[in-house]
Amino acid sequence: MTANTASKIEDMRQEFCRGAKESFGTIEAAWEPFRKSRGGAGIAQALIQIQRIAHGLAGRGGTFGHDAVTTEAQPLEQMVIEAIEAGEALSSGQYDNISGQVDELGTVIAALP
Amino acid sequence: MTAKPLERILYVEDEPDIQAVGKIALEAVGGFTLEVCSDGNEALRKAPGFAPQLILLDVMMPGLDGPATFEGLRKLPETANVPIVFLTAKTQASEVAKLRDLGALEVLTKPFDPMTLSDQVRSIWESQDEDTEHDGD
Repeated sequence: MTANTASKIEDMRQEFCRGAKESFGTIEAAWEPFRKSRGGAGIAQALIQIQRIAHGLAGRGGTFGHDAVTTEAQPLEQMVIEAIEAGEALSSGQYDNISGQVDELGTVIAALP
Repeated sequence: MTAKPLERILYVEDEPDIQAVGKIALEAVGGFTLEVCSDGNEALRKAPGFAPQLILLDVMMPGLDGPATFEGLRKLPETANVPIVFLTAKTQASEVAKLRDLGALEVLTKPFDPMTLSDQVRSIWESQDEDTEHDGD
């Protein structure tokens, strides 16, 4: 690998960190209205949006050298997929689990350089 | 029989940053000749002219997703028999099994290491030859 290639990958890693923080901000904004109210109009759309972003973070994290992002985004994606597929009102436990996992993901994203 | 070394890969990935790092991993690190496509429809248009030896295909894409693109590529005479490897962030065993059942040569999961992706792909290509040789034993 040339120094130029290594430099390009490093640039991409830094860009990933910036993008991941933005992406997490979108997840937070999408989930916040439902964190306490535990329901309401628009939750299905919010879950789809969170699933899509979590999926992207899960795939990117380790690729750009941040395995912890993948480690926390994967379970969030899975929880949200299960909530979407159930097609019913989320249980209290599901709200707690998703909120907790959003927080876990937020912690690792906040620690990114 | 010594199979032809893997040189030409059609790489289909819609996420720009993953596409960019995958391109570096396969082209600059791995030394492959790539045709990069950003979605399934582009892959169906470009594949016949590029004549890939192997297709590396993302799963979750807007419009034509990976499995639908897979089916489309199988219907094109030029790519009907080209080995297809899925590259996906869907890591659940059931999801991986579904992709294998479609007839994929292999399913690689994201995240991938840009430094070793090309080795993984080359190894898959070579193991395919070994399987073929064993089938003929």
